[in-house]
Amino acid sequence: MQKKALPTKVKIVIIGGGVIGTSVAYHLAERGCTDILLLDKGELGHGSSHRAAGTISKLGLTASGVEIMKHAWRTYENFKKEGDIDLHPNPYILPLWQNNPGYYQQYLKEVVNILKSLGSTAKVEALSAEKTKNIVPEIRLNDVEPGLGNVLGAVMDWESVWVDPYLLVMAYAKRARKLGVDIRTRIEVTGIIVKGGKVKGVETTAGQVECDKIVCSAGPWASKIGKMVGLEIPVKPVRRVLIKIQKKEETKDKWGQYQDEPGSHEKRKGLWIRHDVAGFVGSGTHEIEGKDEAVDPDNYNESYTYEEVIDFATKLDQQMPGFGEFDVVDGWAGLYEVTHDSNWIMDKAESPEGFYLICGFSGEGIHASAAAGLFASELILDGKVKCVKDPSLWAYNSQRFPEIL
Amino acid sequence: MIFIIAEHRTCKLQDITFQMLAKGRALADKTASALVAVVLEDGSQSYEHILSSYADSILKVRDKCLSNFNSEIYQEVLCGLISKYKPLLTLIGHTSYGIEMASSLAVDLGFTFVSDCVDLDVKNHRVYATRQIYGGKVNSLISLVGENCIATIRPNVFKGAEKEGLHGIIIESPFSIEKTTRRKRFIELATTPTGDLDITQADKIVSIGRGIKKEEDVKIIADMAESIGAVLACSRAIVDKGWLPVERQVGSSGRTVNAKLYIAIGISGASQHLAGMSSCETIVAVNEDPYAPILSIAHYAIIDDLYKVVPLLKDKLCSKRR
Amino acid sequence: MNVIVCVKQVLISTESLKLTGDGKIVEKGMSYDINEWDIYALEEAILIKEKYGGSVTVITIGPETVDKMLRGCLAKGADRAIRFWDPFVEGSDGFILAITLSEIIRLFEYDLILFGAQASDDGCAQIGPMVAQILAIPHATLVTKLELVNNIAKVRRELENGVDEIIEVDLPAAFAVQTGINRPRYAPLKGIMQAMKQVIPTLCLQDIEILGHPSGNFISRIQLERLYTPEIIRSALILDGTTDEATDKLLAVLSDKGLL
Repeated sequence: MQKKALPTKVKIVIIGGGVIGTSVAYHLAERGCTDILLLDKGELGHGSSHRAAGTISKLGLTASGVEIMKHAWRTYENFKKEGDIDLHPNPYILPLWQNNPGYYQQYLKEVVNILKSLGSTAKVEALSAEKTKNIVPEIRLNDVEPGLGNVLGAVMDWESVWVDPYLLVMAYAKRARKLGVDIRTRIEVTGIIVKGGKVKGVETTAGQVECDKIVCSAGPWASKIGKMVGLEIPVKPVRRVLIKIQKKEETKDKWGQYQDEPGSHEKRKGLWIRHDVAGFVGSGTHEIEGKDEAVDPDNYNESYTYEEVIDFATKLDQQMPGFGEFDVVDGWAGLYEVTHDSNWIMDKAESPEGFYLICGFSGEGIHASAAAGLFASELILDGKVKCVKDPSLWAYNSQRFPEIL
Repeated sequence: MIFIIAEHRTCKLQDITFQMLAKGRALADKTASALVAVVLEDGSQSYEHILSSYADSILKVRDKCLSNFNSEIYQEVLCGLISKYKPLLTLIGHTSYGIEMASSLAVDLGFTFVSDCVDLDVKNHRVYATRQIYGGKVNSLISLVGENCIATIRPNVFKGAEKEGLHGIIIESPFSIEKTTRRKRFIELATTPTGDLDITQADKIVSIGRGIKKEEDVKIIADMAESIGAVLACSRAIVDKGWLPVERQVGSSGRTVNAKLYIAIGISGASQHLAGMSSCETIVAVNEDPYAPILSIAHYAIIDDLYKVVPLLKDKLCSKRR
Repeated sequence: MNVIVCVKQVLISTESLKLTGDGKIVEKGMSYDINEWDIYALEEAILIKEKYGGSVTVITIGPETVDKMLRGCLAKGADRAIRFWDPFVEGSDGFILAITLSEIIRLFEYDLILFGAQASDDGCAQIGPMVAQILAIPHATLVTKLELVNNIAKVRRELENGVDEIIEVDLPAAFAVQTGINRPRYAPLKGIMQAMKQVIPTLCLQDIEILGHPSGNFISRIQLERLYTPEIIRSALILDGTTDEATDKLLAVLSDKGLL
């Protein structure tokens, strides 16, 4: 299907055909801009998107974050309606363990109120300890070891979902192609041509292509692409593992996804688990600060280790002693592309002109994809972003890395 | 000398025999050797007369205990024959019988062995074999060290020999085996049970994916599959929807299949799915997306709406049967 | 019933397999795991142990990287795992590996030796029968059903075209099993935790006696000349035209191939 030679000139080259790149292509095409070439050095989504857990929520960390997710959800609901993806219900509970009950009540109230004040319509609830136990009967409310903290309640996001990331990538790609975007796989970008401080084109394993604009949506390979234009893009590829388990008997649970609070105790933190088809996926190494070394995205351990299984199981047993016995079905490791502050980068580079950074999604790529596509399309076509009312509140600009960019 | 070990079952010489005779003839000509067909049987059929049109000589061994294939007995007889005549090369089919016997025979004889060859050549008195590895992704060309070699040949790679108008000399070799205790005994042939569904054993598979919109459609495709003697399988999407049980799932977290025919309907081809079926012999894809990844490994494709294709196929198959 | 299972770790997820310019397999980013057929052999061994008692010993030839695979076997119920490694293994042909396995096996008591019918990497399907021949025990391959009555195995073997063969084999014997002979279990967490604590002995040439080759000076009789990517049709042959024409073309193709 790819016997044609590459075009000699296009308006925009998108580097990276994962969930972000394909979303950018789709959103640009929806706006009538189809003189686009999207290149991926492998198959679409095979870099890191297809290994993701696929969680999508309505939450955001800032007002613009919340706002943009409203737009994003329109796309997800639309794709679901057309039968391209399923939005599996995944009510997401984050139990809060604190030793200071007073501080805790304040925190809980604030989280929910903050979201409301940011205009979130997400069904987020603050739960008491009893209610938490009601939703997660397996949970241990009072920890035996001193210092590990007791469960004083939880934050519940009732509308969280999970999708099959591969299907989401295909949904964007199919529509982009239909609208006229040229999507090519197994073609690697080997260099970027810059003249007079402006982007002029790309060099690839299948020849040179002239262009005016380049979108770097290469995720774990973003910094590698950045170096081609002399930029130190602060995106680090890190390895994340997921273990698939199956209980002896399937249970009907009220909760979909359970995650331990990132700042919690050493012995506990890192637990993340969600329901999957016929079982669960999870790990014990979710978002542990200071434990993320960069890996070579082309050569890392793509399988799981039994040590990771035991770590997961130990933390699961500690927090949910009622979980029960299970078998290990499978496991795999994939990549996050993380920034210092786990916030996304959606911005135009200062130099060279015409180079756009849509990367650094820090484990939220699937969730952010529709938002990223919309944001990028406005930034590229209009020069400014309209989908969020107050862009100055956005945390996505690359200026927060002045010493790097 | 080049030996071809003829394979027969239920009174019929198998196609692989004639395929080996064709390749054997080419090698015999190249090495100025005699092409010898070897047949072990009980005397109820005259295989030798059929074989004499294809080989320079036929070596036959007759005994009633050779009625049905038994690797223990056949191996002992062949060991004796091959030790006596020392052919440069012995070809055996890489079939169930061949897999059962050829490698242990080679060890018994102390001969060099190579299996499942898709090509063979002899150059400067050396035997070269071409094999496929990694499910056909890579070919390996190897050379064999040793004066005498045994090679098993993959079925349906070489075209069957044409009758040569030969009259090969028929020699009967006396049946004599020393061992009297048989540790292995043929009981009977039977049909493969279909009771407990196991898609990995199916020769023909019709597989469905995301493109199927409604659960009711599954039955229509199941019927079509049955009409061609195929088993129904699916991609993860269908199992996720609960429309088919997980035993039917093809893919890295389901089953790996190596069927002769794999018809993928409405399956786009996620890598996890391709991993489970890419080594099927003939892959047909029905998908309206001309960029579906499955097309990169399918042999044939119909790029059209499956809801138009399937009913037509079904009708045509029905009328074919009538 | 004491059962020995010989397993092999192979390259998996080969869809992205590539060769370098000079015909070497690109190892970067590749994953390895137990050969699929061997999973069934292991399950069969554990089922036999569960039914008749006895032990299951898993043997593999491989470097340290096979450790996880062996622990996975232990987690599912094997009693012990043995690893063999020695420099001579690299570049050895199947026959040399079969001799090596046989000598390792001789260190143990066994009633049955199980293999997978073939390995997904090279597909040779030769080791089982070779080992049986060296150990002078009977064997059967492509086994789809195994029943043990006293010291006799009633075996169903897969032939071709929906036909099977029923045979009887006296024990001790070796069997190379086909996928689908059973439904392999998943490793239970408890099993994994216990497996992580087990010691896996590693043997080398010094620990076994290979007659005629005391110095480990093996000469492989199979010489690799080269590896290359076969010319394959990268994209499918599109059966075009109207739906009617396309379906006719498809039926013709299938009919020609004898698939209808």
